[in-house]
Amino acid sequence: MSEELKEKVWDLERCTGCGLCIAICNKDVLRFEEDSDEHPTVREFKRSVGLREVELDPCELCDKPCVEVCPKLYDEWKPREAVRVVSLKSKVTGDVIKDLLLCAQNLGATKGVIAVEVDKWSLTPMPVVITKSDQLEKVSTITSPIWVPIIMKINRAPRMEKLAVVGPPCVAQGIMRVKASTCDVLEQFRRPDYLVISNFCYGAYDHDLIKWLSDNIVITSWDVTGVNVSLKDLKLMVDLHEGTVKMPLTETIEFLRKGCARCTDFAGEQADIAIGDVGSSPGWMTAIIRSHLGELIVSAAAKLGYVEISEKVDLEELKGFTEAKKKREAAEGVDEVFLAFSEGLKSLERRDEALKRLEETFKERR
Amino acid sequence: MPILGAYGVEIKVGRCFSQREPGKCATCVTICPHNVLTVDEMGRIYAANEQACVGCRLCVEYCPQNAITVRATATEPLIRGLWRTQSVEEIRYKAQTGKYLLRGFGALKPLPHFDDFLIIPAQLTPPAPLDKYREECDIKVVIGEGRVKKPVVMEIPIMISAMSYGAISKEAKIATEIAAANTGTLIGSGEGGSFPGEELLVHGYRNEEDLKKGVKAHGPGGYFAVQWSTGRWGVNLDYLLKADVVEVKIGQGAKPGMGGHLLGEKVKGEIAEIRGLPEGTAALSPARHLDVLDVQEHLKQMIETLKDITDYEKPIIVKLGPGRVYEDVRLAAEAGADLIAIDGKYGGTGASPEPTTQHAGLPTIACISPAVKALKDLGLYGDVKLMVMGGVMSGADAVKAIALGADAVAMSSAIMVAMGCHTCFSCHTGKCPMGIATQDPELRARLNPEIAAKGATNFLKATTEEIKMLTMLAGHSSIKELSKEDLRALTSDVAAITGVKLAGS
Repeated sequence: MSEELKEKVWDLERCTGCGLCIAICNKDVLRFEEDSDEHPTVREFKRSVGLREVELDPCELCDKPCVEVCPKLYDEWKPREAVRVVSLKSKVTGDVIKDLLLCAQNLGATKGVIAVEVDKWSLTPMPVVITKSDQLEKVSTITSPIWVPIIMKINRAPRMEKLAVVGPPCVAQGIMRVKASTCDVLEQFRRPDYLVISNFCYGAYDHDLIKWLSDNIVITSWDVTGVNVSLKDLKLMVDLHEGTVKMPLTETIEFLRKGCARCTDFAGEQADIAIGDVGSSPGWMTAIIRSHLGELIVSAAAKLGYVEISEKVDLEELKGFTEAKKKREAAEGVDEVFLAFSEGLKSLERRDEALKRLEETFKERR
Repeated sequence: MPILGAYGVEIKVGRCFSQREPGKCATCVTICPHNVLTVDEMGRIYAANEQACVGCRLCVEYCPQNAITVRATATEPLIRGLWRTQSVEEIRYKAQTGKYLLRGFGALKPLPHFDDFLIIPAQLTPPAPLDKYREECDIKVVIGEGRVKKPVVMEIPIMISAMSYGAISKEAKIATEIAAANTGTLIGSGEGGSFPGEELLVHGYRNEEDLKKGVKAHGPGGYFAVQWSTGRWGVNLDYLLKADVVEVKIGQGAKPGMGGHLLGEKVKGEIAEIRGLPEGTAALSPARHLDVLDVQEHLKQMIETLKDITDYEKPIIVKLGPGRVYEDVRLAAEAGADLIAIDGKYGGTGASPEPTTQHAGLPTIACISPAVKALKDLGLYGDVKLMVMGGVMSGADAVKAIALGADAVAMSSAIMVAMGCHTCFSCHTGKCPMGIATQDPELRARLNPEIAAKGATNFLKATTEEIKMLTMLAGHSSIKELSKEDLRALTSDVAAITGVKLAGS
């Protein structure tokens, strides 16, 4: 592992768990452990060679692509300009994202999709690579509020052309980082034709949420058929066999992943298309189209009857949500000071710098 | 630099990361300056330039998936000369740990051995060969005859030499004891004391009840030699009284000049109790008997004391390592030993420092002639018996040792192999996979004492037959008649060392 990743991301609890570093790891050394999945951990390499015990640092001979792709190791994110903001209503599968993907897949605009499939029994989400449209139709939910390192699957589809990726904004950031990378070993992932669809995101939940839900509102977990988040109402929607239970998001806050609490990207600022219910009337979804490819797919889907399109969007509501999440930047300020101080501990010259930084941060916040 | 093609490089397809995810890793490609490994068009690694491998094995060390094997294509000394992998790895081990190597089993170095002799068969020149199938051969060995009240009559000229309870498991101890009872021979306790009922097993009884009834479950019954060692672990009056023979250990072949060494991992439960040590403490015996300051006086006194305690009934063995054999044997014989055992360089051990095992001492065959000379000079040859051990692994070895002048031989490594030992040389780890040199309950459960005892018994019987056969074909009806005349040395070195005629002369 690169020390940088550990010091600047994992130790500061900034890892959102997108899984990109694991997917692109050149030596297969990173893992999400079952008991500690807040950030990836480095596999230990101890081995008997001859008569000795050898401890190996596999990162010693590595270009460290993990550092190049980690979305948290880049702090100059600027939202991509929105081409158009529209409201969409599903006409085929009941899920706008699925409809758009189906359209893209049928038209040949994409050859495969990395998305999420939820195991119906345990409600555990799993990343999958889908290459056929009928498969796509069968998938129960394509996004999941429960955390899953979706993009880990990218190493199962290397060199695949025209790949669509569906996931939270951090995944979109990751793809941008891959596209901008210079590292040789990332060459096979550096394709210009990714179609990235993001859902609006306030953070992903740990799987413990399901257990908590079954303990608190239902008797068995099989009663729960699905869990969704309605950001518009700030409610957790728990689908049961007998209907839907709504819970305020504030009650579930303890299950939010720690890394997500530091993230400021709400509306998939790096995605081709960002989709969510904020800003639309019930039954409709707001889509922020940020690229030419996104625009092509949406207009094609509307013309071919996959979705219904409307220009009616409550931009004020959208802006409100986006800015609410932006306020978390304060936390990033603290991170910076923290980092400056940990640097300062290493050398005397940097200590003054760190103090100056602390002073500035305080002034800004006031 | 080695010749082209001296090494073969193999990549395990199932493990290599570039096979699973082409284009990744290539650590081996980066680290090899001789371009032995290459990435193919698909992004997979293969040994394109295998011939250029110099055998540094750096790729093996650095491969995160443990997917590379580098093998010498000819025997190592041909390619690497002195710098064999073993020697190199030993240096690296010392460099990494600051410690010398510790290892079990015994010397692995090529030394002059019994294999360097051949036995001369009788033809026309008298004595004529005897018929193994129809005639008798006397192979009994009596220790202490005319010297002590209860001399020991070994039915076969092979003793099962000392392996301590601790170095080997209780199951293995029981198996060797049953084998000794089955064959009617002498068995040493080793220096780890003795567990209750051990002497009964040696004598052929399963328990106290059998003893009362006078029914022997196993064979004619053997003799128990308890060890009076430098460590004196578990030594008390009962221990000495339950013996048939007392063995005073001065040294052993695998580590002459050093005391016994039982690693802490093996000191647990009953072993710790018998030895009187806290569990997990290494039992490091002194290098010499601390109460022997003046050898001539004190050794004599010690043997006298032991004889006194045992009521002048039991023979005393003095076991020596391969040192200044002539002088040592003289001193031991003068001190009153009834049998002098000499353990040569190939002698086994549970744990011993590598340099000691490999480099200190003398080959077994070089110890016999000076010992015989010492006894003859004192006029005690034949009276005080001479036993040879260390690398004796067959009937032929035994016959050769006896022909060189010994009265009997002892073995234990070969007995262990007969019981199931797979000779992995890792006795010192305490993880003997066969349940012999271990104290781990799970591993111990793998050894069935009955089955192991059967193996050891069969081996001893077969070896005895070999001894008879080779003695009789040389024209002798007793192993006592064997002499150096029945042997020829195959190399002039061995002829010079032992005084045996060179083959062809």
